Amino acid sequence: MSEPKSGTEHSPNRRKAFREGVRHGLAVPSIVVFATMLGYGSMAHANGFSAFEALLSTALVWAMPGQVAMADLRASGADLFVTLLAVSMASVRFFPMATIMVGTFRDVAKHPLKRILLVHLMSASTWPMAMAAAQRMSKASALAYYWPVGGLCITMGCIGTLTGYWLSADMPPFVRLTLVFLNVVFLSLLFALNRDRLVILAVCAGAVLGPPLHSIEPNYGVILTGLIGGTLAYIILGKRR
Amino acid sequence: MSAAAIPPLMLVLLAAAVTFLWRGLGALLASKIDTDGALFRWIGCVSYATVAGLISRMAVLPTGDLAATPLALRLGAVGIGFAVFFLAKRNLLLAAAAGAGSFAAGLFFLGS
Repeated sequence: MSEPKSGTEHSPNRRKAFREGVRHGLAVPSIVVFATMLGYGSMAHANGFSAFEALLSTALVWAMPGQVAMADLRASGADLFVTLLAVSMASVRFFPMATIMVGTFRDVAKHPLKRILLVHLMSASTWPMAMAAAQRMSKASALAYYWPVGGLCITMGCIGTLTGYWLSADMPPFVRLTLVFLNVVFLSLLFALNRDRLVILAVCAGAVLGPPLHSIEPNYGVILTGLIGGTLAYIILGKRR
Repeated sequence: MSAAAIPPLMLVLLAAAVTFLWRGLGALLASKIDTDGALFRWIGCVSYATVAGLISRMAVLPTGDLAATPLALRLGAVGIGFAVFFLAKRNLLLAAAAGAGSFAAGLFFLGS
């Protein structure tokens, strides 16, 4: 990990960094999180979760692909083991993200509870923001910046979940269906954000294999898709780096 | 045992545990491990392929009420979302609105 070039004397103090975090946390990322969780809330409603369970899943899982996998696989009648394995496999990305983040904030977040909160608030939008902040300000300020960013995003996610849940209960069918469909739209677009050729190949392999493998083996299809598609992509592009 | 056989609340807590597993392991092993190594590239590939397979299956073979909507509408709406994403300089919100909007319009005109 490279140390930031900027000296701490040019870094905003913690109070200023915190305020910047509030501003950034309330901007585009939290709107995106709100919109994605709107879809998830509708899906949770359609798949028989209570509003409290939907809210709790956003607050505690805090990983939209995993949450969608949980709700969808439960409705499709998959085994508990398969469902949990798929949910977990969908969230492997947090492992390298957490190693880098805790490594970066090692000296300013020493308490285990602080570290738990640090890695729990990580998401596709908050992690890059924290890493960018750690490059341009002192670690202590970057951490002060990250707390409101992460806190506001997860709060907006919870509000989005409940909004989607209740909209789903009250809206005409075509709106309800669209909200559930929003999950498919958002998750496929999140893949489009990737520029890494290896990731793109793994995504394409999974997308092509997913439906046929599900037809052949409805229960283990999702796991087989990941193992076969991912391994194929790795063999083709991932071995040499 | 089916995932639907346990109370949803229990499923939520278990899902939270298996997700936090990765965050927690990462925090514990911070900078003691090379996350750029071959094993991690393979695990990353498997993870992306799993989610992509699930999303693709949800679009092509959805469960629940979405199953009654036309396949061409679902794929068309995702296609429009992608087209807008790349035309609008990778604007995620605009693209999602375009994808979901075209899906809603299609449903509305088909009379759902």
